[in-house]
Amino acid sequence: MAYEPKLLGFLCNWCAYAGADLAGVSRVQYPPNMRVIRVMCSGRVDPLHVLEAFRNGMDGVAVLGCHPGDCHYLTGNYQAERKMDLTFRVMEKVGIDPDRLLLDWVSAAEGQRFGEVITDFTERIRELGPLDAADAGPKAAVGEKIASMDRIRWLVGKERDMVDHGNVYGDKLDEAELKDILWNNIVNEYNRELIRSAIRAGSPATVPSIAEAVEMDTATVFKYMIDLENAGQVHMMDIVDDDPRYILVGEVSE
Amino acid sequence: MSDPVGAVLVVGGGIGGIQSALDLADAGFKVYMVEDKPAIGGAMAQLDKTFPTNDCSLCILSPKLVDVGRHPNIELMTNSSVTAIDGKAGDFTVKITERARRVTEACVGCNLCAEACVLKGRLRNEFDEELKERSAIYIPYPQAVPLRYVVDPVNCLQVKTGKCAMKCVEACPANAIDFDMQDIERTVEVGSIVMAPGFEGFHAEAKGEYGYGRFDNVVTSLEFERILSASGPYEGHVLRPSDGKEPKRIAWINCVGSRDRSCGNEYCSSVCCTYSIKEAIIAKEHSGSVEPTIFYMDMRTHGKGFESYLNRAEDQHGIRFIRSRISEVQETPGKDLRIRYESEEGALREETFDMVVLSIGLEPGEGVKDLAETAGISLDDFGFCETEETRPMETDVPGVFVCGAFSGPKDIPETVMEASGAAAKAGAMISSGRGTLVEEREFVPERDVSGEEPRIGVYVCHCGINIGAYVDVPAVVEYARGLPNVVHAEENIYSCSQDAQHTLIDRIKEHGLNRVLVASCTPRTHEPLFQETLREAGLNAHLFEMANIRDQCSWVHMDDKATATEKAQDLVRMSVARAAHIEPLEELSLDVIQHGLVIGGGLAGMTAALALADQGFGVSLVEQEDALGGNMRNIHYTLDNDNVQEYLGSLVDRIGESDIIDVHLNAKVSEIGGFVGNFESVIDTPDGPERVEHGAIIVATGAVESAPAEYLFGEDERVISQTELERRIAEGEPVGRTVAMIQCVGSRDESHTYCSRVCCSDAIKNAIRIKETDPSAQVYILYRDMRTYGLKESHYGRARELGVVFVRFDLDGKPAVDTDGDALTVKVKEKILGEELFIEADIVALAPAIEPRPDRVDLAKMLKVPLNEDGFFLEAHVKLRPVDFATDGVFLAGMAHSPKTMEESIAQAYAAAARASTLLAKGEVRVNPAIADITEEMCIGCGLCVTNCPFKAMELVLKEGGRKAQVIPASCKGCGVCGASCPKLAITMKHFTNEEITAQIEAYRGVA
Repeated sequence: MAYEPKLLGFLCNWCAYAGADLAGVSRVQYPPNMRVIRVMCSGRVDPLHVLEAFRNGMDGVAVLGCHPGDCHYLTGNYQAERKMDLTFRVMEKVGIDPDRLLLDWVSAAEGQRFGEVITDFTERIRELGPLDAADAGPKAAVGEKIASMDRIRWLVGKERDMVDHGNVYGDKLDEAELKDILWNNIVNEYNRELIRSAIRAGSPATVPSIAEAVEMDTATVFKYMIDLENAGQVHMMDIVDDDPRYILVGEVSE
Repeated sequence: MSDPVGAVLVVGGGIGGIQSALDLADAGFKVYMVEDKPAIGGAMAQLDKTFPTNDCSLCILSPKLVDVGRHPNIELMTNSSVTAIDGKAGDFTVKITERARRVTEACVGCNLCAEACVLKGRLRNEFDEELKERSAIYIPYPQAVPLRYVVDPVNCLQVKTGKCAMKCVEACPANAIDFDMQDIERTVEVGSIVMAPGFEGFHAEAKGEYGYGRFDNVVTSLEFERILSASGPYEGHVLRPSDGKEPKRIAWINCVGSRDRSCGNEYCSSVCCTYSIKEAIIAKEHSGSVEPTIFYMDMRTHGKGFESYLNRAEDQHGIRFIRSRISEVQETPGKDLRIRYESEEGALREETFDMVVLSIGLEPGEGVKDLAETAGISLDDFGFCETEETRPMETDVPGVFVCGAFSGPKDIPETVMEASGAAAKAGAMISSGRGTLVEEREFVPERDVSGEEPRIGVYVCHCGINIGAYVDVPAVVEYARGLPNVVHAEENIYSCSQDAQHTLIDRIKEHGLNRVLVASCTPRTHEPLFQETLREAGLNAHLFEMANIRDQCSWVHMDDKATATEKAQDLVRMSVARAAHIEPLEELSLDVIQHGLVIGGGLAGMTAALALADQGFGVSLVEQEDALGGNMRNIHYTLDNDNVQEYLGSLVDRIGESDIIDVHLNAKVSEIGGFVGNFESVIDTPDGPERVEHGAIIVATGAVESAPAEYLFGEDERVISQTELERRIAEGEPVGRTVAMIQCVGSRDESHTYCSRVCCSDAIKNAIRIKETDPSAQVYILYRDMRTYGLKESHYGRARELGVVFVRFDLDGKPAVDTDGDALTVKVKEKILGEELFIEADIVALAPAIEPRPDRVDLAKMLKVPLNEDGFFLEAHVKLRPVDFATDGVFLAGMAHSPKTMEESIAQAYAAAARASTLLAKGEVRVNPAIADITEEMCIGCGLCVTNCPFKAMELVLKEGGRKAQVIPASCKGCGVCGASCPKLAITMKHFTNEEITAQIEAYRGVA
């Protein structure tokens, strides 16, 4: 049987969901691959929901909201944009093709367009092919860890405010600069997670053994180990042959 | 005068009567609804689809039927007629005869009696235009309200002869059949009356040349609606009556019984052009091989969104349009039909079709004459209720109001607007009697389901064939039975019908259901209906979930039943998973500020403000200019010769005299905050900003005349607009001996794709004035389609009688306006002669398109309401909620909605006021309980939610354990932005919790 992409859509109640209904009323025919979760606003969609969908074997996820400026909740779709921007970046970092996530706007009057958007997205995912669950599942799980870090969520949540109104010191931040900070944080979290999984795989672990497993140099790994220890996430158990051996804290080793 | 009776009589249970009754009952008045037929629903219930959205007619109507059936303040009397009306406004005594139904209220609607009837299959069902059979005991249609069978006294053997085995009585499990039942005379006291008896279809036999009644395959448009309908005679298959074959070539003949002096119906029926397009599109949808052809005189698609519907019909659906006059229809030996017609160029032609549909017009009907006599109201020459342009809902008897097709042909949204408008008038008349005769809705105590395991009931709807034909519904039901927590599953033909609601209540009790899932259409339209049923069953309304297997499944995957079924099963599985997690929500109610804000001081705004004030509500009326009136200031007289400036003056005076209307001139609304019932806005006035608190908003900002970019406008001063021409006529300035009027200047072309609706009538109005003043003056009207819809058609006839010359042109053959020396010439190709016509004109008057105001975009954003493709404000539902916005508490009137006549603006303004009044009169509003929910132990008081909340609904409060976020329930609109951003994942959204979303995702992955 030909490959049929498995797609999930998060549709905002006021625009995209209404547009999807209008597509029905207008009998617009489009591929039957997507299942819909209705949310009141696209701003409700947490990056965690999207990554969760990939972890659960979906090949593509669409987040559809109102056109910029038309949000029923004023700014919800701008928030959605920031959150999906984070999600795209996290997907890129953990190795799930960001093209599998679609963020687009469909108004309540755009039944025809809704059909087109879904048709195009279905074709796009069909070309990308199925997402290998065994490979993507753990990647998505790492992504979820990153997207649930309070520091990153804070940065994303505050982004619009800091760019538009400035930080607590009144300095307006440059958007590109903020994006760099965000990216660094994602990379950091990703690397920390890599290290944590390396320890998880062979605990206790030493800096050289971790460095080999995660393909980083020992100096970098060591810096992360200090960070992680300060954050109370790893603990130096003992020292064997001059090499400190670390174990994870607050997590049951698998 | 003593206090008026706080009750209203509504005559007629079609969509007009229904809307009036619901508005009045919601606004605190007792309503007696009298319907002649055994069930309410009227003509709308018979329609298959509605234009221009092709919405399923009964699907959108059914929730309203159910609302009427169960409204505690509406007393429904079907099979009944009004026999006498005495008294006067404020205190009428009405006599009503309720004809013996011979079936008591014990009827459960099981159909066993009809099955048992000895005449089964031998009588014809009127609801199906007699294309389908019925018994002598029957219901008109499956979703009928009340769902109570009725004995047809004319045909029933027992009633007629007293000699029948009465198998029906034997079969009835409820002992509901009572042949001793007698007619009942009732007397009710009411303060005012709304007449909504509707229309009858033209009796096509009267036009013998079309062969109706003689040729099997000539059907009326109403019969064709039944043929298209899934619950109709052919179950939605397009078949022709003579041999049951699928017709390929189908012709529609328009204006059958309309625009026709020979049958006494000189008027235009207004809706037939668009409904024939609809029927052609739907027929083609049912069977792709159908080749529809529409024969017409002028294509009158003047309504909102109709012109693009016409364009789609032609471009996308390949429907053929032939401008013509039909001479006759003949039948061939094979029962095909040969149409002989005269083309626009005057050529006689013939073409053969498999089936012919006669687009019959709307007539007042026989019964209304008696009704009019009983009420003492005057009818016009055609038998329609007489009204004035400035008083569209008023009869000539005070206290008796009218809406819908009784006062002239009109479509559903126009009827709904007038119905709400009539409710405003009827309510204002007796406003001091508000609340005196109504009952509080019976409160069913809510069952506490906490601690119970989820017990889910699943209902899968066929929606006639809308779902059933494309999704294997029994398979979905069977599938649902096997899902976790599902204790009961069943299918319904229509889950939204009244009997389905009763069954649902029974099942909830019988199976101890604590969650209900309906898999049918969209929650956006039907969730409130089912939630109300849950309330009646003693369940919290929020223990309800819907799976959208129609709009987002069966309708969009019509060619692959297996896949559509699989998708429907997935959607049901996901919804069941979610349903297991949903929790009851407590509804909070808040006081409503009983004051309205009306934005725009033109005709619609002034009318709405006065209508609200008449009901006793204070109003802030905001006008941008330095005087009230808007576009009305440039209108001097109407088609009926009413003096507009005088009327404007009277409105301004009445507003000035009102103590409770606060007028702000040179002012603009700069800020709108709050929510339904509790808005807080800022009006920028010349004296500085003013803060106003109000419960409702009416948008009446109007539209503007566009500036023509062609025909030498602005280059030659003899080329003017119709508005300027009207001013000159009104002020007695000379307009010359030859006037050429050019229509559709910027309308129905690439600059504005829609029709501006009023220009044809305006041109006729001015042309008549010129000819009446100076019969020797030459007036030419160059037009594309003459759109003098409804009763305006007789003025078109009058203009022709006066010698106004009408010349038609096409978009690709526009007239050319030139100057030749001093002469101003207009050149246009005359179709019949096939020659160029030269007009040397003193004045060329253009009909510029009406376009939306440029500043509406800012207002739309402030109000968070949408605009349509043409840039006009988009209402909540084009058919049934024409003056509501999807945003609660905000309403719409006048040309901000779309171009319209003064009469229509007035009707819509009253309608908007009526809708606003139902809100203001209640005094309280229920607040959305699906709001943010904070887990305090996880909150670190970072304040990100406070920063990001678009509605200032979050605050930080010092509590034990530090600063914590707290929701302000009345302000929270439940968007969920805070939940998706919270760094500590401490916020979730009630009713859209992370657990619910996760459950749906995991359920989609596969059966756990």
